[in-house]
Amino acid sequence: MSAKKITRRLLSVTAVVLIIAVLGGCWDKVELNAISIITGIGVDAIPDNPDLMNVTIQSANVKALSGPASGGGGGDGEAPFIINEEQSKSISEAITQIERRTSRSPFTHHNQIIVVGKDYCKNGIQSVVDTFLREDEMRVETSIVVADGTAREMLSVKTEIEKSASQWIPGMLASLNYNVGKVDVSVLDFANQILKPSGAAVIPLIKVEDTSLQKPMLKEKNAQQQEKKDEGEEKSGEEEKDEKKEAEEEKSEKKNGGEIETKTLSFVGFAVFKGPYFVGEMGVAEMKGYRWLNGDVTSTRVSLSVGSGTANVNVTNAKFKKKVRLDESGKLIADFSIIADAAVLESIGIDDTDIKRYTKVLTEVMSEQIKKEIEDCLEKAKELNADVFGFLNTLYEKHPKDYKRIEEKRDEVFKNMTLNTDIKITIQDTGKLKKSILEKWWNDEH
Amino acid sequence: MSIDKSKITVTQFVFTIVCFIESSAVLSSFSVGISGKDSWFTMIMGYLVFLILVFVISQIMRRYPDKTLIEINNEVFGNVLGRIISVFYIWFFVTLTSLNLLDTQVFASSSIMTKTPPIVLMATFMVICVWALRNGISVITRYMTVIGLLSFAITVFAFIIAFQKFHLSNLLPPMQQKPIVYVQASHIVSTIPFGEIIVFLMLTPNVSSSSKKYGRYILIGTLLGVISMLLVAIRDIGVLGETIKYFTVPSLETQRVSSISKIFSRLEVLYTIIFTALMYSKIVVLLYAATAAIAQFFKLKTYKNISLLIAALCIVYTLNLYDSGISHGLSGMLVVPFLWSFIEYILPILTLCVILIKSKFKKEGTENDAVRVNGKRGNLSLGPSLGN
Repeated sequence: MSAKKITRRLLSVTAVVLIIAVLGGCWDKVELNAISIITGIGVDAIPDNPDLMNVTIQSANVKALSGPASGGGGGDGEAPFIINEEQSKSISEAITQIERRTSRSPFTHHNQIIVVGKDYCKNGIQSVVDTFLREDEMRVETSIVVADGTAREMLSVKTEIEKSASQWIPGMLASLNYNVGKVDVSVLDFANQILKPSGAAVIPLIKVEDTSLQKPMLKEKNAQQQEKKDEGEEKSGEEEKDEKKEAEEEKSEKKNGGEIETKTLSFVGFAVFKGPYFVGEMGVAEMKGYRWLNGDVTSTRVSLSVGSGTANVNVTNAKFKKKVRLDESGKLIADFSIIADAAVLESIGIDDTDIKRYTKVLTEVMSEQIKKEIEDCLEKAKELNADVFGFLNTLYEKHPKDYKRIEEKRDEVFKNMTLNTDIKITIQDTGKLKKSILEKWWNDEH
Repeated sequence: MSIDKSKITVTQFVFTIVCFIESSAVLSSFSVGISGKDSWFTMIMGYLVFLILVFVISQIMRRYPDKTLIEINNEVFGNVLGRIISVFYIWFFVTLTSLNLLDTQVFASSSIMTKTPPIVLMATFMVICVWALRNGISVITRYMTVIGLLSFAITVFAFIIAFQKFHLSNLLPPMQQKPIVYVQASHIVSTIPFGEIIVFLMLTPNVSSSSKKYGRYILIGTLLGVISMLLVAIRDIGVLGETIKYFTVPSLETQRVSSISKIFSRLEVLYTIIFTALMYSKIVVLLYAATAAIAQFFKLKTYKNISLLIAALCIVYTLNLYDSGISHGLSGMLVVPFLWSFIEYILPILTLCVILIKSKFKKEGTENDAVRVNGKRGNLSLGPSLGN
């Protein structure tokens, strides 16, 4: 081989090695032990200072998650997450400030949830939405929820089963998606909704509920202490020492699964927004109509009251049709129909001896109930002046010329709209039983 | 005659065009930023306008099948004017290479390798392009079939996984914006990327085809490219809805939100792969065109020796093109389409007009000669007849 060829080959090999070294992206290496993985971000209002926000950052506590005693979940009673908070003008600024007092660089790419305190929402959540849409490390598909309370409190809750609220909330929203329709809202969904003609959107409203069951021993001690206090007994030195010890034990008990750990998070409805501004709430009862009108239900359960009896039916294969039109006077008319199948899951105290009559009664009651749920929900939306069902959006999409006619007074048009509902539900299945085993007694009673 | 003697097949030529157009599909934000949810329509309109150029190019190539753009200019406009026009084209090729290099660098710097200095990203990319270039056009185009098919497969796969988040209502109502919006967006699409196809006039002498139906090849290649572009645009609009206008790289966001359950999620890596491969395919073709054009302009024997120099020049040019990504974006929407229209549409049309006029004169000259010759013959033949 000639010297020229050898030199060329050597140069080629050197070039390849150099290219590989550079392609590896040395500048952008991220070592796991150098980052703090942010799992949840919360934003609250500061009562005295509307210009600032209280940003809560929940990060994974790697030590607690990886400890051998923990079995992967909070060893030595240590919480599996770390809470940091900062008052600042923006989320990014807060993260920068928190960075100054941590040994690891905050890594937001794996953030699971954005929690916004209800008080903060009143001034609009535009800055939160903008940050999550704009900042490259943030993800637009991250779920957003409103805390009925403070975001800080919500992110600090140590939940059962899941390790933290940031894991628990997406799980719950996914489960609700399956059971009652789509309730999960991402930053992108929200931005998309408020940019549409109706400008209205909803975000799940979640509340921290104190369901703590104090441990019996702890309860007893508390009762004894209360008794002593009531009796006004003087404490001796030894007693004081015992008391201190007990207080420490109590603290430890709390740490190992006392009051804090048994708080739960409940989905309590929707926070309603007009543009980025919070305008009101829809409770669980009103939300029932939303699931129908939104048309995202594939399978859901309905509880029925039939006379003094009750029944539970599972609605499946639901098909929705929503047609909107403007009449000559400019009134918005929506024709909404549901065609679905249903299966009886429970039936208590309802006469089912005549199956035809039984299914007819159930169908009628169910149709009436769904109709009422829809009407109640629509009334609430009208009250809040927020077309969260997208009637105006449908009008714009299907009849843009008609929409242009009423664009200037669309809020008024929505308030005066008429909804015609047509519900056709067929009971396909009465469960494993053809009729109730209590038939004999039921006939005796009636 | 091309400066590179190697030959490429028709399939390679067509797929090089497909990759060229597809690479712009991943960066559709120039027109999307203007026409939003109606981008699919402006793409079709832009393509229809581009058909004029296809006709013009095919007519030019039919007349000069074995000549590159630089040689055609010399042939049509003469040595002086032809060289002046060639300077415009050379500037266009170098600028286009630099602009696409800038796009690649901006994307990598903002999304993948945020801390890597831009110069390192650009230098690495250009070294690979030069490496490919030095092996000749046949080696470059040999990989285009694979890249083109791979990117098309990824586009289809990305469409399927995005289906769960796809809302047809996001495309409604169509065409509710002011007509000027459609004119502007269609104009952008017709120049970026369709008009850029003019660069393939540097490659046509290398195509080994007996039929030489270049117009048909370009039509097939761009049609496949535009189908890919439409798929990407419709997918992005259906997923991102009203927000599509606001994102700098809508396709990246679509890939980010697309998932099938939790099994297939966070698939922006697919976008990154397809983006890098397609941008390579475009930049390497542009760099070839720029290098070959400069070499032919200066009557060099080979373009390979100057390829590294031109690549370095492109990097320096890229660093000085715009002071920010915002200026680049604004220029792409408001300035570049007009500049490109001159190079991509006006100059080729002018070239064809001159060719037609010259050929007409030539024909007339030939006919006159023939008449003169025939006349002489006639006279000659008349003579005896008269004599008869």
